[in-house]
Amino acid sequence: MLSVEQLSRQIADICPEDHLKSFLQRDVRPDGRSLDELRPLVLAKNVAPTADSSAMIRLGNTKVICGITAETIKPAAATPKDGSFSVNFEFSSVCSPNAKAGPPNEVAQTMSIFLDGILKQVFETNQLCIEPDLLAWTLFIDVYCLEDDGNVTDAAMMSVISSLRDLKLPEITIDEETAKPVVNLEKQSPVDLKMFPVSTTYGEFSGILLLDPTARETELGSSPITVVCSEKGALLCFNRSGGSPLSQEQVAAAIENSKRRSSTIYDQYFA
Amino acid sequence: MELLSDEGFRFDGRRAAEFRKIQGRLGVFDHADGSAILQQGNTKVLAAVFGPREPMASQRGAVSQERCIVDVEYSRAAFASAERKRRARGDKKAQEISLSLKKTFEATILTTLYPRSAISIFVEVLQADGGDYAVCVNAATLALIDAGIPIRDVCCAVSCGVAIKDNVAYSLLDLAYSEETARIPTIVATGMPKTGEMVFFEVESRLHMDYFRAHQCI
Repeated sequence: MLSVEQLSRQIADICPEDHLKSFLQRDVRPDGRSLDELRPLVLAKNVAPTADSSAMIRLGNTKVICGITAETIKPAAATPKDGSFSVNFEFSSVCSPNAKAGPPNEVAQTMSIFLDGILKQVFETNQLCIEPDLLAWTLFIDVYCLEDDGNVTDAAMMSVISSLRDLKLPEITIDEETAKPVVNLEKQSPVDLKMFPVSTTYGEFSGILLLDPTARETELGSSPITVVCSEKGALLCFNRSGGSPLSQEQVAAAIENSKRRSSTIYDQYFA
Repeated sequence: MELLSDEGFRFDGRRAAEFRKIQGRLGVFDHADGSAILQQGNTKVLAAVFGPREPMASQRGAVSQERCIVDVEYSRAAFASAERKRRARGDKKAQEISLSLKKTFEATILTTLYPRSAISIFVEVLQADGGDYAVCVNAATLALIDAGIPIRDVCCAVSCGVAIKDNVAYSLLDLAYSEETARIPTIVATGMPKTGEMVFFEVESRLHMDYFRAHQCI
């Protein structure tokens, strides 16, 4: 005899759309969540001590880890008073059974560009300057998705922001006599974020928006919507790459919801 | 740095034949058929196993009527070592390690039970503090056990360095990163405990044969 759960999973495999529709008709999702409920979120800090700062986010079964390594470089000639940062997102090979060796695929590259775009808005690189035209910090932000059960976007964004928040750079002064940098490990200061972006992603299925979609909900619907808001309600990004049309009310509601969520997440995890 | 003090202690207080603290967990990933995370000291490795399943299009050429294909991919997080090293996936070092892991597990898994199928093993090093290859093998073995794939024997690996003190050779088991970089002869060995067979054995430095015979560290 099959249990109800086993039967439900078999139906989900055989006719997935009908399975999801039958739940949505009752305003609930297959995992028991309401339409705008988040999965359990766990934030773990300093998970990779070899990195200068790191964080791992677990959003339901989705697991993303971020590590930031800081190194010193000579600033670019065009921007002598700026340091730099680069974001690299990859789907780890443990994440997908179809992983192949080689450069990151287009989904990963799109994610890198997305994270980079948000960071450019909230992080000023002139704070990374140590000595103009001589020495500056460069941050390597490496993000790996260890397991993809949908909504890697939100998890990745949060892991990056949490790692940046915890990053502490030692003070470096240039010795006047020897013109060599002197590192003072005793004095470490955090970096400054102009605002805290929080990403909120909705899956879209038959015109219904589902907050924090699982992998199955994402693949059954058309493309998801991502809204990034700061904790004070500033809109940083609205991303919807094609998919079935949304009404203006839905768009406005999604943005309002994201603003509220951003300040809630900020108060809970970063305040 | 002194590898072995006069009282017989290593830099982190261990004895010569003492292992670092081992912590591990099975079943850490939902979507993989088998998975494990293993930590030996500060070296942390994740392993995931998918299979037996239908071979992918790219593997069709290697499909065998008698046995299953074993495919291993090794990769390393950029922040895994003390200095950040961003290597594109599939670079030479990773391919070499993937190949030796593949050969190891082809010998371990009872491949004749699954003809025309493929088993994929993925290994990701999150933190590298010495003995990475050995921990990868151990983590992959745990993941295979978690997946319930029949294996000949539990495949265990250990890294071992030879410290010569007063003309006596001591084997330092389970090397940490600072011991690995101390340029002592290093041996990495993979074996099966029950049968006592060796699957993989690598020495990449000069070691006098007299000292080698004295090493039954396996």
